Amino acid sequence: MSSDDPQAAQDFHHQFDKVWGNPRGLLALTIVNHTTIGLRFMVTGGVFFLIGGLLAMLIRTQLALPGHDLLTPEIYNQVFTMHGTIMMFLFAVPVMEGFAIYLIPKMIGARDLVFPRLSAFGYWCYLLGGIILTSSLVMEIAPASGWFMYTPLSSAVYSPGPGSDFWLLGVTFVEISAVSAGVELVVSIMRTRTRDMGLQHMPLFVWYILAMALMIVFGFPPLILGSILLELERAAGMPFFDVAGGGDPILWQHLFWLFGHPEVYILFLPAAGIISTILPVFCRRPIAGYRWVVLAIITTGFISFGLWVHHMFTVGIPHLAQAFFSAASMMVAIPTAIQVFAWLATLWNGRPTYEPPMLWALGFLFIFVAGGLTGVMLALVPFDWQVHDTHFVVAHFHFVLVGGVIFPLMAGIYYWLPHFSGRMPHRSLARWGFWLTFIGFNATFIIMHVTGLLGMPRRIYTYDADLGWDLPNLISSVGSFIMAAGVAACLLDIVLHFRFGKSAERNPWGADTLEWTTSLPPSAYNFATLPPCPTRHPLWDNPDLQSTIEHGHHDLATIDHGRRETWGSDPITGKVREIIHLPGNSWLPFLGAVATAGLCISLLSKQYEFAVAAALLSLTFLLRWSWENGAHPKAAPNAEVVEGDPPLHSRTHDGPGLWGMNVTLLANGSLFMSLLFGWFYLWTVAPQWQFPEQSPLSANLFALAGIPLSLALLWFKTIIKHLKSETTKRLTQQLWGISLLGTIHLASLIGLYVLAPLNAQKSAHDAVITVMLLYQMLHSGLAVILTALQALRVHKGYVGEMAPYEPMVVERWWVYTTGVFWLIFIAAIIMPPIWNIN
Amino acid sequence: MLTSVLATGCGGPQSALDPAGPGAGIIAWLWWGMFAFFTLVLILVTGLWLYAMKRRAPEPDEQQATRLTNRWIIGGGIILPLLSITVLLAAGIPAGQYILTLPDDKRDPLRIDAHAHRWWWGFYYPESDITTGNRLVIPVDTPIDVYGHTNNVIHAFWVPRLGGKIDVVPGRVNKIRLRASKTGTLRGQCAEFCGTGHAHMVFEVEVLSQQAFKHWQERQQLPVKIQPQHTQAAEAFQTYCGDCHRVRGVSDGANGPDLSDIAGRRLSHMQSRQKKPLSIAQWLEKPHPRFATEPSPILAEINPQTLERIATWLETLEP
Repeated sequence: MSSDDPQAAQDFHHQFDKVWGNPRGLLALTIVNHTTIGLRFMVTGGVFFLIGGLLAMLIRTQLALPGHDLLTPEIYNQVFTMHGTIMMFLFAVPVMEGFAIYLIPKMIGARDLVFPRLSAFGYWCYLLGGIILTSSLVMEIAPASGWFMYTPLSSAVYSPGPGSDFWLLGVTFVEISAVSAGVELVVSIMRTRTRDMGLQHMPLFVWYILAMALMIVFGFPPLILGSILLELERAAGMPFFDVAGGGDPILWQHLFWLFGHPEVYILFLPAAGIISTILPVFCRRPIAGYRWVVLAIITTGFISFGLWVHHMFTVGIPHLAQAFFSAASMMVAIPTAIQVFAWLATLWNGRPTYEPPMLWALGFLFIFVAGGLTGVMLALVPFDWQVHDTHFVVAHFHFVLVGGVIFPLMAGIYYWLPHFSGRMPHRSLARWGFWLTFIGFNATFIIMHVTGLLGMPRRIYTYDADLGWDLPNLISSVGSFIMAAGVAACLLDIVLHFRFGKSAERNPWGADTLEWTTSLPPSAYNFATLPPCPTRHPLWDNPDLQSTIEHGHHDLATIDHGRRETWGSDPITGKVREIIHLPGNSWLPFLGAVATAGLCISLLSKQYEFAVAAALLSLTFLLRWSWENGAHPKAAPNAEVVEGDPPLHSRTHDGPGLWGMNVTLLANGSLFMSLLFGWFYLWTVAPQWQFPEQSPLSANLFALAGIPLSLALLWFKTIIKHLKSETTKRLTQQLWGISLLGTIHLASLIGLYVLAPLNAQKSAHDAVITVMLLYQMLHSGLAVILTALQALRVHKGYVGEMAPYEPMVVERWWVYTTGVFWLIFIAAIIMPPIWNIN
Repeated sequence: MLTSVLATGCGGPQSALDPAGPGAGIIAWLWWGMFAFFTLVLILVTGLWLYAMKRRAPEPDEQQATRLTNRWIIGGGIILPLLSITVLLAAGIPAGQYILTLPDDKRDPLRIDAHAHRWWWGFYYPESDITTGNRLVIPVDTPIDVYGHTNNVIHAFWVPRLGGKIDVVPGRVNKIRLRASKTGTLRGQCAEFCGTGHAHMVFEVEVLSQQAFKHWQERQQLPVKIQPQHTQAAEAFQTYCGDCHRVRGVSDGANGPDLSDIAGRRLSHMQSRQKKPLSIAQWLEKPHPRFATEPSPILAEINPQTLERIATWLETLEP
């Protein structure tokens, strides 16, 4: 299969297309391919952007004149809440994920993401969650407490309608999608790079996405936890944020901004990645200071988790803490400045050309640097006391988010447009679009700083005429309509180009990275054969790469086994370790997401019987999905590979699934740590927190319930040891035994919970304990089910010494579950009597 | 565009750039300093980029390129921000410390408790046992400690011309120290979104000379003067409205604003469309929809004639 004849390449393509191709019609719902899923994310995000933009137009129309009463305050509050919510959760994050999902495998020389069904599941969760959330707007019952949902305003007392529930449940649903994309991207980047692509050879964009994905993994769980707690408070009266019950509304602010600040960088990093990708291409030379930039990315990721309190300088935080968070917030200027000057040096050393993507990059630079500088101003505590919650802040974050996200995004869209469509954009319409957007944006938001300094608070639906706010508001409103015209021009350009754009030649911009070696638009499998990539600039080093890939000169050239395959490689060096066989198209992700949407809707309408049914249904689909793995007939019953190739991943000990489980547990651990944070926070800070005279849980009985759990873990560990040394005996029976131990543990835990005198509606103390116990039961229960399923799979012959991979994955779950159990024991049972300050 | 607005002035009753006290004054100075410096930085960075795009120098060799890169990154990416941050913190931390305590004034501060309701402000002067609604009266050149209380949602107390804001959080009492350095009328507004009436949660701040403040305090101890033609109205008020509203010497209700000085209060929510405020009679006849929920059931029980009399009487309650 290595002839250079074009007919041979065609035949080769047909064979691959049989295995990888996308079905049409209704079956399109089963597609799991990352190219399709990535495009779906981007297009859906684009639609939500337009909805969010329309809401912004409403806001600006309302504020154009003093005393304007186009919108009632009830509707205005829904409009600005949904504008923020849609832009952050339904547009910015998903579109960035879409970009990453579409590009990452192509940039690292892989044929698909490592968990394709998870990408599809994530997309459906996002789409359905987005529809549920947006539907509230149509029914005029949308959330109306602002996009950060400060409680008690968002509580059942002050927001009695279903609006807050739409927000809490809808956003959580959408965040499942974000976290699953985060997990998948981390594992794909770490484990599926093509042969010899070491960490030091990864394109910068991949570094940026790796950082973004890890930040999602750690940053989103605090908000998921916060949303669960607030929903429990609203629906079941558990007073986590209610002072009278021993809770504290400030805890919500901490949990929200623990997510909210990293979120800003989750959006900015991929955008900066786009800039770092585009500039070198149009300068015809490598990025200046690759290592500096990587260092800056990593530093940004870390610092961004230490800044959240700067959103809370006026809530009465101790002054020393304010000074600390102020300095930390300013420090983030350093890695950002490093990137700005690395870009400058790239331009300085190169011969830049003005193509449409470069225009947007320039627009980005001006707006983002300005927004970054006002950000440093805001980090200065006394200044923040003055302009916090005014239009100055509104102007600042639009500078950072529009400048730092939308402008690079547009640069990226124009840059990769030929990749999506195979056609080139129209230059002059593109220029009109850019200049209208740029001028409109600046007209809207530069003046808004002044509006804020003149004392206009944010989120007021009207204002009096004699305050000096009339002219600046009018200018902002006119500017916003110019900007809308710019967005419309860009949209028109992009839509028209699909029909009228001239077709793109291969690698039209003369880029250096692997995604430009695919056909335009790309086939579902990206690369017919996987080339080695021991360089940062594969296409600059070897311009013939496209043709050698197509003609079968590289790796994994066979397809007659009917498996979708890509390389599994060493996380550091990129040396090939195994062949990863990927699942094909499936209904399960779609059905799983629909069942989860059913859960979401039944919780919204408070039909709890339906909720239980939907949850079980959804679990069933997900378990069925996990069933079709390993040596299952639908996965890889036959482990034969071409001689000289490494084994299939399901026949190894540490395939990508183990990585997937580990990264998922990091996200899960972040959620649990947030819960522990909540416990200690309420304990030490909440004004009316109280410990009961006697703990509702007996320390001895609780510890007793932990013994079968710990024994089960130890037993599981010996099984793993035997599996690795291929000396297992009676694997099925042993796994059943472990399940039984787990069941005993679970039963005693449930007994303990039922008998404990917990009053979760009266006291925050009991409410937190209840959540901890439920969390533990959920984990113990899943451990039992997963192990029982393993026993069945061993019995069926899908798992065993020849395919020892899955038990290693399940073992991680037992380790985590046991760890959580003893942490709860220490934090909730051992510590209070020792440190009890009551 | 920017300059045209600057030309019209940084004034306005709620402008942070038109300080009327040392706290806001320092913050305004911080702003102008940062504004000047950061504008320079922005022009510098954008200018360098544009220049780099235009410039057509011979392409440097690897060594030159690396040297240049390191120079840009270390100079612009590390030294420039580090220096700026150091200067900022060196100015900002002492400024913050000063604003918090206003240490140059050795006198004991005057305590005022601000109670944030939905959606109005009640102020209580514990030393003189005075209550006012939506109206904060303070003496000039005297440190004031405002303590924020609420039993509902989170609000923020903010008088931009005096200084920064402080959140008013249920379950906590936050304090902010302020001082006015000139007499006059200022405007304050709730800054933390608190629901449908948020835009209307405005209050007036009157800074009096110390002498005038004393007089004001004394006047606040006396019952309001009721002219003979209004005695009936005052009695009706006591019957229908007195459970919620206080008017000195007439009623003691504490659920709604104190109306003892209603005529002097500029009620911004009464004038959403019209330029001039509604009369109280107009207001009572057609209450603002945002606030209709509380007064309306009572209003229906009062016959229109009595209602009008009450309104006319209230118009006479000058501070």
